[in-house]
Amino acid sequence: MYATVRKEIPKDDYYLLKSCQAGSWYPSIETSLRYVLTTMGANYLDDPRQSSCAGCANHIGVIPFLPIVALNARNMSLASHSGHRNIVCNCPTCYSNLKDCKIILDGDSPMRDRAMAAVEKAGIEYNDSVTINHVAEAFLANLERLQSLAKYSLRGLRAVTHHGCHYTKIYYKEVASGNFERPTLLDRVVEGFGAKVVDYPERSLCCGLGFHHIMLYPDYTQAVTRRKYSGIVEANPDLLVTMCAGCTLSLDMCQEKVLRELGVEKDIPVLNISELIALLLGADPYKMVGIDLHGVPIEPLLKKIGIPGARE
Amino acid sequence: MASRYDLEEGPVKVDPIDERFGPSSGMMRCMQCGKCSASCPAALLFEDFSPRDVMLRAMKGEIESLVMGMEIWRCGQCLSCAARCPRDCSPAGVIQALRIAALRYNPDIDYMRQIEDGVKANLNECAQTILPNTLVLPNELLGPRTRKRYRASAKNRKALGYRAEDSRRVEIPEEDLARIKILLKETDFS
Repeated sequence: MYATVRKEIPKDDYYLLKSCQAGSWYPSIETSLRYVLTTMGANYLDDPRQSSCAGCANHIGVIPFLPIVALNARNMSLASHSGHRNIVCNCPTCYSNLKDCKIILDGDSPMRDRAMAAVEKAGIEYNDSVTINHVAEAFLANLERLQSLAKYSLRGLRAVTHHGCHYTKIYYKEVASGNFERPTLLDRVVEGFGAKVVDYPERSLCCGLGFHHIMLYPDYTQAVTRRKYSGIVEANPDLLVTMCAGCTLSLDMCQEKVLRELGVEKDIPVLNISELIALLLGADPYKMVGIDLHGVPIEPLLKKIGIPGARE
Repeated sequence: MASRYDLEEGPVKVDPIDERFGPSSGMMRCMQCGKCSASCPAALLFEDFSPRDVMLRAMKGEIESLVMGMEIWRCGQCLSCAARCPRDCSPAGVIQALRIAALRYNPDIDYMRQIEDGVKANLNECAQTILPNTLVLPNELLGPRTRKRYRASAKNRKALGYRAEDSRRVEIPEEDLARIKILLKETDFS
C-alpha cells in the first residue's frame, strides 16, 4: 500500500469554504455545519465574499484551469488576510481543487504568471499562507469535544461510509485516517458516536454522480449506483454516511429506484457527516438540519436514535 | 453535425499553459499496464472508452482524434485511475485538458458548450458555479416517492433561509463580485 503522509489537522481558526453544490442541492449540509461549528465554540468565519472554487466545472470539462487558479488565489487570500487560516471545505472537490491551485500558485509556471497578473489587476493583495482541510478532518480533530456535547448516540446502529473520491483519490497520500483504498476518516468519527461501522464490497467505487453524467449519461449513474448498493445491502446498515453533497445527491436520490430494482424493500437513510453530527448535538431535524430535503426519509432513523419531533 | 457556435480551425492543439497535458505532465511515463482501465467504472460500462487507450493515443500525439471523438466525455472523473497508477500519471487530468480543447474544435458537443455558457453566466453574475436550477435530475433515475420529495426541495430550501434561485444564503457583496468579474475577464472566461 502507498505510504500515507501523516498530517496535522488544525483544531480551530477555520475559514468556512462553502460549496455551491451543497448550497444548491442540500443547503441542509451548510446549516448543519454552521450549527456544529457554533455549538462546539469554534472560531470560524462564514465569509460572504468567498466565491465558488469552480472545481466541478473543471471536472465536467467546461472551464480552463487558468480562471480557476485566479478565483482561488482570491479565496485563499481572503482566508489568509482574515486570520482564519485553516480553510475547511464541506466538498471534497473544493478540497482537492484548492490544493491543485495552491501547488500552481506556490510554483513557477506561465499559468501562475497569468493568474497572478489577473489577481493584481483586480486589486487583490495575494497571500496563500493557509491550510486546506475537509470538515470531516476538523470533526476528527475535535472528536472529544464533539462527543462531550452529544445529546444522542448511535449505539446499537450499523453504519456504512462512503468517502468522496475527490477526497481520497486525488491527494491520495494525504488521507487523514486509513489510506486511499481503505479510508477510515468517516468511520472513526461515526464510531466516536457509538455506531458500529460495517464493511461492504465496492467501498471505494464512485457514487455514480460523474457531475454531468447524472444528467446526460444517466446510464452511468444507474449502473454505478446499482453496483454500489448491491454491496451496501449485503452489510444491512441502518444508515449511510457521506462527506460530499454530490455523493449525497446520487446515493440519496437514486436509492429508491435502485433498491426496488434489486428487490430490496427497505430504505437506507443517507446523511452527510455534518447533518449527522448536528442531529446528534441536538439540532432541530427540520428547521436546522432540513431532513425533508432528502430523497430517502430520515424519520425512521431519528426514531432509532431516539431523537424526538419526527413528523409522521 | 454543424455547431451553432463559432469554432476554431485546426490544427487541433491543447493550450500549452495547461500542464495536465504534454511532456511536463508526466503523461509520457505511462507504460500501458491498464490498471486505470481495470479500476474505471466508466470503462466497465462504455465499450468505446478506456483510459489506457486515451493515454496511448495521447502519448502518440493523436490529439485530433481524441478531441474530435466522444470517448473523452465518458469519464466520470472519479480519479481512481490517478490514485492507482503505478507511475503517478493522471488519465483523468489528461481528459480534463482534452475536454477544454474539444470545446474549441469539436462541432458535436454543443450541449457541453451550453453547460459552459451556464457556468460562465453563473460565475459572472453571482460568483457561483452551480445554482439550484443548473442540474436537474432526470425522472428516470428517481423512484415515485423520491420524485415527490425532490419536487418539494425548492419549498424546503426556502424554509432553511435559502432562495430558490441561489446556492448561497447571503449574496456576495457588489465590490467583491466586481473583482471576480475582473479575474474572469483577465483569464478569458467572461
